[in-house]
Amino acid sequence: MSREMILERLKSATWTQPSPSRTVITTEKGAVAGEVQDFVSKATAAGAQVEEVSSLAEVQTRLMEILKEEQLQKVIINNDETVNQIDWQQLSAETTAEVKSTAQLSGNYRSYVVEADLGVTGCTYALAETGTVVLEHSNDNERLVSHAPNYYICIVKKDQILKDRYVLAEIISSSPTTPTAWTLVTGVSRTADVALQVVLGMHGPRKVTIFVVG
Amino acid sequence: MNLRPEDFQSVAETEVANTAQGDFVVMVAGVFNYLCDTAMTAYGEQSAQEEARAIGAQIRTNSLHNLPELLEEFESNAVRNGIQVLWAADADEACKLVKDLVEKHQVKTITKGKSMISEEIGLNHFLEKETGVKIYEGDLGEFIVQQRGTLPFHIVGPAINLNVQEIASILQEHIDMPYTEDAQEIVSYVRGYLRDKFERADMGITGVNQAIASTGSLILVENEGNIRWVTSAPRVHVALMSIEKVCANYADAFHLLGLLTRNCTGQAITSYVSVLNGPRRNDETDGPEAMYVIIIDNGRSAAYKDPLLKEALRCIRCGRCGIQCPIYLRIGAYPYGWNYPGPMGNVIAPLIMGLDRTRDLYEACTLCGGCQAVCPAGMPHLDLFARYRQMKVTGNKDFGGSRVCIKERTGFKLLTWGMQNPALYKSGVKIARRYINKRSQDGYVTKLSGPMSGWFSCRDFPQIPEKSFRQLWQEGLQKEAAELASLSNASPQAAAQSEEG
Amino acid sequence: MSKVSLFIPCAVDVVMVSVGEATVRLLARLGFDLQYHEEQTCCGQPTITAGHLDLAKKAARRFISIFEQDEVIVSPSGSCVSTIRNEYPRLFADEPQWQERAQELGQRVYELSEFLVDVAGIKDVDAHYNGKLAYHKSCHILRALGIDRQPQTLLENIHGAELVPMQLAHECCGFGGQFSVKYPYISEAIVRDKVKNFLASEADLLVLSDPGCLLNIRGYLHRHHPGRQVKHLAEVLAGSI
Repeated sequence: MSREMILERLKSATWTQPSPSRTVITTEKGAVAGEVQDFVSKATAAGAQVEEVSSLAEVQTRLMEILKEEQLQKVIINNDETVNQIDWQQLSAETTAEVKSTAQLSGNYRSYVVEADLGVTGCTYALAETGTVVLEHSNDNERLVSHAPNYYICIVKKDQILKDRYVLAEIISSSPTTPTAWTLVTGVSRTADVALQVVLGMHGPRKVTIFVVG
Repeated sequence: MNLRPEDFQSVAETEVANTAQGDFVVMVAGVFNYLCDTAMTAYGEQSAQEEARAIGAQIRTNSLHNLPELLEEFESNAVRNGIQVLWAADADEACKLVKDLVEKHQVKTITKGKSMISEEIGLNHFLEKETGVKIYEGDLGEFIVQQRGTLPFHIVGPAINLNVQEIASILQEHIDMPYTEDAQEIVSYVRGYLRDKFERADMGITGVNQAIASTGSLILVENEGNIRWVTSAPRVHVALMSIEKVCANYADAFHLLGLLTRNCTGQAITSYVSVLNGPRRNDETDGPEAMYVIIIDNGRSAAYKDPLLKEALRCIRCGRCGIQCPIYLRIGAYPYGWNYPGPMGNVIAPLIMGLDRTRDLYEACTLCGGCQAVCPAGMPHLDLFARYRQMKVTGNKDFGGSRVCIKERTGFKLLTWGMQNPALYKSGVKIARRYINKRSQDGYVTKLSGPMSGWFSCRDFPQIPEKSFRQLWQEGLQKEAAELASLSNASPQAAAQSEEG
Repeated sequence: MSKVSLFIPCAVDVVMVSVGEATVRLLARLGFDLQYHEEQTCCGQPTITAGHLDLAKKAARRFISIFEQDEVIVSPSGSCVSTIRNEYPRLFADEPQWQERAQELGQRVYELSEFLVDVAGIKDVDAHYNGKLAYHKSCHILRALGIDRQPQTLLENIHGAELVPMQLAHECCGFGGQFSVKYPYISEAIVRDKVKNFLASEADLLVLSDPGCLLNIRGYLHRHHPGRQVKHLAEVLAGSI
């Protein structure tokens, strides 16, 4: 069997020295907070529009404005504690937008998400080092909600911002549960494959707005 | 375009003549080097950057020293999370495994994330021939190259050597794109074209940037978003990884990825990093029902036994070495005849394809060391090229190397003989001087036939002075030197002002 | 004053004799008591590069035997010094006694600019040149030996000279020993760009520290840009221009 052959060959090497410590990087324990300003400037540099607001009420107001400006028709939101605090009924009532939560959609989820103009989620963490939002996936946070629509909005709470990827590594490593997947999203989808010209919005959202609340 | 490393010389000669392409590539390399240098400053000053690279090298050392254990640990954790782990000894077996999955899951269309290993094993070609399945490359550069039927030009930019007119023509011809040279319009069209392929594909195939042993997870990085589609929409996901792509835990993986992205595109992080822990749960919609990882050997475990050759497995596929290489930048990717062009591929090609076939890959190198100087994984390019040349000289059955040709061996034996024996050396010099100077004009030779003729394709060679340094020393220079030195010691100022005696 | 043993590369002994002469005159003028082992021939670098290690060992043993009694050995060639310092110990990886001798010797072999600045503490040799100089960073000097600051210090202190920046000064010149003969069309593309960058720098003179690079670039200049000059660092510092 190939598995046995490969492993046997590898194990028969005589030069190996088992390392005393299997990991090379030592990380700081606990959630080391990241600077909000670093997060804002890095996320902006990566192509996201970042808005610092003091409360979810302000997010609500901005969402109203955005829905009206962009004349969005279909909005999909995930089943997230922060996102659920937004009054989507009000937004829907006063704009052209139809808003569905993944919690409501069940069997129609996939056909809806690929048609949606806007996806809105919260996040589990954010990284100040790179302006990244960290999404933990589950049936409350399906992967395509933040990827299929042209426009993606993420609501980040200031206390979710971690210093850097090493802190995140420590947290994920020591977490007792494992989600089906994580996605680290930084800025917008991009390509430089057409004669090195940077074009935004290849296969993912062309536009990303991040609200930093708190 | 069926390219093979055996055709290196003829293809390189053609490619290098395309000076417009060469100039463009050199210019692009300059831009990327600047971006990557800037990105590396995130670690701090020069010494901090070197330390970050040293840690990267250490992580890879760690992985290599513990490779079988890490692979077993990865497998055990992955399986526990519902991922099926398969092992393939070679390209053939890997392709067959994928074919079996295609048949098992009744797959009609496949979408792909960019995967170098899938190209190494010739997967697309095999599947299309054996199963009639339709494959769509999701990465725009790979998609363009796929339509064109050529090898990718560089790991960062597979179609980097094509101008916008060529790209527009290719897309017009193959996917009915209305001709446009506007990059935004081209991107929009391809986005639309691939969108429903992404939505409806039955199977997604990707590579793996790093596999995490401690949790059985896979990490994949990208900017475009095709990998997120390929791993979220289809009901089956097949991830291909070569045996060395594993590391102990997240911290090590994240550090390596930082070095990868900073040295590849000059980014601190890519737009998307997917950390995949298993197939979707029962209550989820997005994500595969069935998830497979195929661990591929293809010649690597054979190299692993040797403490130097195993170093060839360090690579994290950032491609930074390529944009330093004076040869690669001027000949482009095609002469290398396989999918890892430049130094990145040269370190491992002889082990996978055999020493004889890949001779030019490790010989068409000035040993300038530019590659090694920037590598964030500690790859000893020069040591490996030196070893391949040694293996070529002595012959090496294990890695497909026949002995060096008699002519070269004899030439070096003669040279060595001359080095051992000053009298022989002097005679040799006399003969060379007579031969060369007979053919010189105005102090220079412009042409010589024979083994040295290559020098003269673009250069002249100076006439050989009538007296060697040794002779000059014996006939007066030694005395002159002694006088100059004693003058200087008597009066430093006098020495500084004295001209040659 | 201090004794210096001269390690004159075979290419300098036979072809680029003026580089050897300049090295001698420069060091002598600075007061060094020079010694030259007339039986020296070649360090064996070409055999190492081509992978003929058994042959290389012969040249190496001979070299070590000739030079190992010397306190200080100086050479106007980075690639040759790199051969002794970096390659010889590896060559004898399976012969511990020779390896030790090689390592020991390697600590006392210096490239010219490295010797002047780091060992002798000399930064200004009272050289003169009126004009602009550009400096090509030979691969072995820069990357194999880590020597960069020293040659530039010496150049900056040349009276009347201005050291100007040159694009991609750190890029290989395309010589690579046998490479230049086996892959001439690639070598040509590389040296062409090196010369292009030299010309664009608007320097009057290109300076470098490795005889291989010198032979390569000089040969190309003579064919394509006959008026333009390239010199070895020793030639510039010794004032033999």
